[in-house]
Amino acid sequence: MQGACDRPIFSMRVLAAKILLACALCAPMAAHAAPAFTDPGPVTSDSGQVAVAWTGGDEVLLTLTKDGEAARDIYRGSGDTLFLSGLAEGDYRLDLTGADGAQAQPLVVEVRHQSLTQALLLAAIGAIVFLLTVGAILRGARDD
Amino acid sequence: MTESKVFLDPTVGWILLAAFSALWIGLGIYWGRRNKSFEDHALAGRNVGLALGTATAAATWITSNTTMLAPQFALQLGIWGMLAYSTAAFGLMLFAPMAKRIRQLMPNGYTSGDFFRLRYGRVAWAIFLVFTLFYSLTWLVSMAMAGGILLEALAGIDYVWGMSVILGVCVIYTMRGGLTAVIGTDFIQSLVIIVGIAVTGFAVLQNVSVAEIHANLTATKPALLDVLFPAAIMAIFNNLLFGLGEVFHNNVWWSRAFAFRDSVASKAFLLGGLVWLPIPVAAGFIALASGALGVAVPSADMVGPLVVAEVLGTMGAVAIFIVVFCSLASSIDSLLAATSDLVTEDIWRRLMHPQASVETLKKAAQWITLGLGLLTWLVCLPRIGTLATVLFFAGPLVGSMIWPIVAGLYWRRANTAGAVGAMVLGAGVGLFCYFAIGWYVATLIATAVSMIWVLGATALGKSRFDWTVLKEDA
Repeated sequence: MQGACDRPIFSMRVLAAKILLACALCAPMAAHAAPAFTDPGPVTSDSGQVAVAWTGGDEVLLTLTKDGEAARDIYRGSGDTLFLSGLAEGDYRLDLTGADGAQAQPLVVEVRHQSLTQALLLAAIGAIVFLLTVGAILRGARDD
Repeated sequence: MTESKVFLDPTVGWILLAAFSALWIGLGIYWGRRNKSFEDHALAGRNVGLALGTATAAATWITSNTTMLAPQFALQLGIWGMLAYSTAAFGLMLFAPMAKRIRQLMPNGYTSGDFFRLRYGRVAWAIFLVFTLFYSLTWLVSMAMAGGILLEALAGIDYVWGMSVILGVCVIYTMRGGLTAVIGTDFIQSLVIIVGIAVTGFAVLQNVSVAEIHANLTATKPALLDVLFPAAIMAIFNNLLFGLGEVFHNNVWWSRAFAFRDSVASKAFLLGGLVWLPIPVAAGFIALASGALGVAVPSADMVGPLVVAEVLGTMGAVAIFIVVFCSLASSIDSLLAATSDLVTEDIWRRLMHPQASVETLKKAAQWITLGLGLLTWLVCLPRIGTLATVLFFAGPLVGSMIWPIVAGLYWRRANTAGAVGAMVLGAGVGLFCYFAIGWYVATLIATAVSMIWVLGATALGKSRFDWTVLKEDA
């Protein structure tokens, strides 16, 4: 019976030790979880604007690199979202770095603006409709 | 909306909310004492002068969208976006000559529904009522929801409480004071809004120069300065025509045309448009300065409050709270008054109680205002975020009504087939394009289709409308 009792007691001790060890190992990871973008991407935009969100990391540094250009810091702080706009056509890479140096998988952003021809055509139609409306109002009921 | 950021202490927020609520309700009751009939209640006795007329036109058009969405437009679409938003002023300016014509043709008119019923008959009237009630109710719901969300974001006031207070206050003073109270409070609200935005603009310029803003935009947001920015170019006329459609058809503006004195109707709308024109530009400029000021923007709709809080601190937070509260109230009260008058005149009176006395009509209008407020409150209560976006579907609906109204006011040959076909086809094609292509073409296409149909039907039409039909007795 003793032997029969010893084994479970030993196993319980080992199990408890393993749990403690696991907790000890996991605790720092929970406090400084590696940052990661919510949307792993690639993100495409036809208007030059992107809403970026991320998780993990109390203090992060976000850098933006356009293909062929130098990286520039665009955010440093404890937030978890950032709205970018006015991006010119091209391919971009967003890098997210935590306070402990841990880096997220980079986020690729592709900006391909809408067709300028289509935009100008729509603007021309809009201008015609608007001018005819103004003309009808200003001309009034002259002949009626 | 990022709601975790609170700019103002909730106690200060509640004190401001209570003070302004008491002011609006007190003024509403005071101004409403002289209202005896439906005409006094709904149209302020048809005796509104130039100063009040100009102020109410400008203030009603300054919604929370103007103070919050104009900066967002500038941040997303740059200089063109800022100008695109300000083109909504053309709606008021072009309504100026129309208001004069409306007063001439319909000296006894009450609502825009009266025009459709008398000019085009019951089918066109029914379509108009569906379109305009959809637009008005979604606008009302979106404003009340925006009120709750903004007060929570700015001062940590619970959404349900904030939404309920702002809606309740507007319902009380609109019920008691009618259009007189709405126009009177609009006058004060417009002054507060204009001063608030002007002070903020100058404060921004004290912190950063135009050259620095330009340099920052060139380096970090070049598309915002690009003259050939496709998304922004497409937004210009779509937004312009949306604004025209909103003003031309809605009873908010028609009721004012009927309420203003004969000699001032036209001038008041023109001046109101000119007063309104620079406001989106000033509000948009604040957003363009965000980068140069080092303000990180977590979501586009928070750029205005963030920049104001950055440059003005606590005073800025108080200012933005007051400006937002005033702009919300000035739009909600106008919508409540105009929509309840439309329901009272076009549905309750014309369809159900044609013999109702003027006193009974006034009471009915007050109860309908209360009912409308309760309905709005119930719809807003669950805080369905996507509900506000329904307002964008209204673009094709309002765009399709521009030409039936313009042609109906000026051309005898404009006819029912033209008006009905223009509204149904224009709205249908516009909505299809909304989903098939994008929001930026919906209103434009709807207006273009509607215009072509009206022009064709008018050219082919043989009938000649008798203008005296519009002079129906009150």
